[in-house]
Amino acid sequence: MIDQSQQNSALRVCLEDVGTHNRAVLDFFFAKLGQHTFRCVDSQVEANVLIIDYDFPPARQRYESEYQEWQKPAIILSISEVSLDNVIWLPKPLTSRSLLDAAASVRALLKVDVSDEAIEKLSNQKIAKNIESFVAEKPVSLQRPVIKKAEVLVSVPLVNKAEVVEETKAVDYDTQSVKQSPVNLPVEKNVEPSMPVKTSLTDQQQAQRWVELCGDLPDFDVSANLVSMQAEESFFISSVKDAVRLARQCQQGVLLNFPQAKIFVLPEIHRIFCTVSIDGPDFIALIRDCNSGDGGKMHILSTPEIHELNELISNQSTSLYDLESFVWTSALLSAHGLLPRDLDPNKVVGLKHWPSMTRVALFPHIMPIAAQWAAQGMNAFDVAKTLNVPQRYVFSFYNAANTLGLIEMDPEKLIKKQSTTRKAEAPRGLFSRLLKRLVGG
Amino acid sequence: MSTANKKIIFTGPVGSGKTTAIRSISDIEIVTTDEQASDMTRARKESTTVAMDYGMIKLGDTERVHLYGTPGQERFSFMWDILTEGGIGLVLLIDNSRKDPQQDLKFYTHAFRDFIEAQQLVVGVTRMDTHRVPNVQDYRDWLDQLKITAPVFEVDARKREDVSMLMQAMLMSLAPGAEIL
Repeated sequence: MIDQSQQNSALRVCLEDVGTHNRAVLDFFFAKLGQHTFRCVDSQVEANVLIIDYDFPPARQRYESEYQEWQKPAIILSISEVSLDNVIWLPKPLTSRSLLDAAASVRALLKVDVSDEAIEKLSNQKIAKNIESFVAEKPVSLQRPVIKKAEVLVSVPLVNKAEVVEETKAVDYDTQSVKQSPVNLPVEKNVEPSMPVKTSLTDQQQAQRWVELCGDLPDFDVSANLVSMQAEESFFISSVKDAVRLARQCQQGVLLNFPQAKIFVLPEIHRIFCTVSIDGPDFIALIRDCNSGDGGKMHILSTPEIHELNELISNQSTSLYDLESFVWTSALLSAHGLLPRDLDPNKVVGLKHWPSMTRVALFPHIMPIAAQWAAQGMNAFDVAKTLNVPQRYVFSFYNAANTLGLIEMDPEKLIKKQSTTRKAEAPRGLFSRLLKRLVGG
Repeated sequence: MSTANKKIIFTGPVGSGKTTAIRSISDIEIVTTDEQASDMTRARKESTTVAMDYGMIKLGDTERVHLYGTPGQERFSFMWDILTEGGIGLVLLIDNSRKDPQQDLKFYTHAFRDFIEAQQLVVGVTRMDTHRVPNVQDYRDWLDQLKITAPVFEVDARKREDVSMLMQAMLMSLAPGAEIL
């Protein structure tokens, strides 16, 4: 039986501009663990706190024009940090703990006349018990909708929420420091770049594209300062990763809006619609120039936007990209042959799964690099040395595969991989000749 | 002058594109044993392979890589062991438009388990252009559940480069670091 005093002390909450999915999540929370903390009411007049989903298309504008005058606290749900007066930011994905914490913060703001006695009754013990029963009833975390196995999408590593709103400059490769760092002069390796397929580009165009994707830096000395091999993650790629994460979590289309382009992430069909061709110079310019000051806002698609998108797709079906392929190319073009700060070329890693080579942007030596890393854990320097290939291609693969969540970093799993050996010895000579044939030689 | 022979096996359910894939990559006009489909297969295509498909890649004068396609229907499974004998790898094509691709993956990886353990499997998922679900990551997850390590690529069996990439991944997996001579 519900304690009347607890009911009275519950925050009266009104949901405004909250999408179907998040509304369902909150309703479930209010009905279970949050039943003594929040009471959902139908109108703002009755409420003493609003919950607003800032990623829901009209919410931000309405907050600025209407809600700010409301003079009462609001809980804002958003993937990006929101710092406004009288507002508690609740980062997505929502968790029961963060909702309870937000309630406590709102109480502090409201200075609600809730006696210490009433709060005492909602003791830690009771909360813990509630959490247990909540988890037992629904073993899926709050933020995650129940989705069919067949709809589970590519695992894209998450980035810190703070990164989304951080003022991030376009990648600056600091060419000066690269020049000063101890590097090996580019050595002409008598190895013909192994490309898995012949393309329709001329040799010159192809070489130019490889430079765009993987840069043209010479090899680094293994003892060189890591800083010279790494670059800050670009605002563009971190925004794309966030948009993919949001889309996967809510299983709904997400619009990532830049002045130069609209990017629609469509998790159900595992595609991305982008009005700028990812193979052209405009896309490179977009990655280079975009910043949090004038773009990168994202939200779940509204019904009119879905209609707009359907029309766009029917008129521009070539702008529809495979999701992995889009993220892969974006990661390559963003890093330009360098590694993000969180990747260490000295760390032994392996390849969990091959990227879908038939759909991602290719560059020289990509297939041997994938095979080497799939076969055994190695650090990036050793892969380049073993295969006798330029480090920039290894770094590029490492970066792009990691962005797609394909890199294995767990040492235990790497050891396990190492211990599984193949029984039969491969006829390498024949394989080499067959490979040449398949490549088109 | 002796001739060196190796073979690569293409398998998968009815209509997954085995015959088309072999045709895409073969140096010779493929030998196929298609017959008018007379059972449930007819719902998917007019004719189907009843014994096997055969194609070939010639490497110079003395080396041949034979490409064998197994019949898709399970009642011909008795042939699979015979066909795989001496093979260097298995190309499994899965039709993403079928009712239960996960079950297909399970069935074929189980049927060829010994061969896969000894050699190398690569998985090509066909008809993803029209059927986006399940996606490549789903297949990776399913293979993890089956404790099988194999590259998974989206492929169009009609495109030589797609089939070629699958085979390259197979060869590279068998011999990492193999040079292209």
